[in-house]
Amino acid sequence: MNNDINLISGDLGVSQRATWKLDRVKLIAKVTVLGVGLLSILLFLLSRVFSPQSIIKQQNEVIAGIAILADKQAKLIVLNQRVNDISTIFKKRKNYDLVLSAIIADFPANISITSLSVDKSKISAIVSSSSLISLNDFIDSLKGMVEKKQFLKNVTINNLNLNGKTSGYILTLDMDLL
Amino acid sequence: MNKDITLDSQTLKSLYGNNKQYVMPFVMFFVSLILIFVTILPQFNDLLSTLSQREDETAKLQILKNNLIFLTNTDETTLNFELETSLKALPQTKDFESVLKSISLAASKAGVGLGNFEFKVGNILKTESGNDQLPSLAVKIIINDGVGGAARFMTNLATLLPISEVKSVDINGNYTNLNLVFYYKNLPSIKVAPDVKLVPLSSKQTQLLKEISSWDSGSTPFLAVPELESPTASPASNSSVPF
Repeated sequence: MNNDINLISGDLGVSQRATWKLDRVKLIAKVTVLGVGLLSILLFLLSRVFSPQSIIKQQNEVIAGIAILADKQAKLIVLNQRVNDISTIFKKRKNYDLVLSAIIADFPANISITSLSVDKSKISAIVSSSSLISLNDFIDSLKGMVEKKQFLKNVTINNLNLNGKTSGYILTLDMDLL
Repeated sequence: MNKDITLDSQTLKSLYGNNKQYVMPFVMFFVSLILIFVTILPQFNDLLSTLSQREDETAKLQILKNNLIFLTNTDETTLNFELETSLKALPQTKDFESVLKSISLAASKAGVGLGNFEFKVGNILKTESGNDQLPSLAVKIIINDGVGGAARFMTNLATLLPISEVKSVDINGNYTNLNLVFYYKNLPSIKVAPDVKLVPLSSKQTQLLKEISSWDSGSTPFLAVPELESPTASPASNSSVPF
């Protein structure tokens, strides 16, 4: 007997492999379809659970409460804006009165200010005196203010003249403000 | 045996006949793949977007709750007083009466005489703003005194309302020319989203208000609150609310 001619066992082996292969393909297809379906349902349910609608509902309730206090809210906003503006003005405002008060604080008695102008960051002054010593004392006091960084950054003496008629000295100077 | 294969209808029928059991599973598989791209991925993106939106809305809700608590706890009397003070310091319009009163009071306290006045009025109804970006009313005055009197006048004026600023000083002997500005600011129409965080005044600002509330003033503020415009309309917020 020639076993190579066993037709039954050969057909059964090939057929069985083909069946397994088919079954696997069918299983994969079914699992894929089922998986896609389940995943879609899961994602839908998660979107519903984590929907922000409940939060928005709470927000509307709180907004309704704030609306009742609308005039208070308006007053607060106006107050904040105005106080900010007032603070800004005070920060930027130049205190020329303090500068002038400091300049004339140690003013020697026999000096008079002929003219003085203050503009932005500069003071121009013409002072006169019969005494050079008094003018010198005045310049020293200004120099002290510059050294102490008290309002003044710089003092420039432009001119010193002798007025022949009055025998007085006229000093012209500029002061740069800090 | 003929090794050449030709794709004629006979061959295709034969192929289909041999493999027809595999057709349906492969079709199901490919349809599933398509569905993944057409539905699953967009659903997933939507879920991520929903989660992000929920986070934003939760943060917004917290701000709203804090605003409500803050508004509820704010004392109305104190608020009205502070607002009145701020409106005296920075009036809503060009307040000529209070400007003149301030100048007179400053001169009186400084013990100086006043010369001529000159207002740079412009358009009475129009807001003018210069380089300071806050509108102001410009005034030129002459004081019948020199440096000392001018300094005292400016010191007194600096602690009077409405708020002013000296722009330039020109002293000639016993006469002083002063260029002043008095600040004002219109009450604008307020557009506020309810979820904008309300901030209380800082301690510095409260102290500033307390200080200027003790300053003299010639003004009587008109306390009309502008209508508050809210983007999310609700019945209670649309009315004009005077003090």
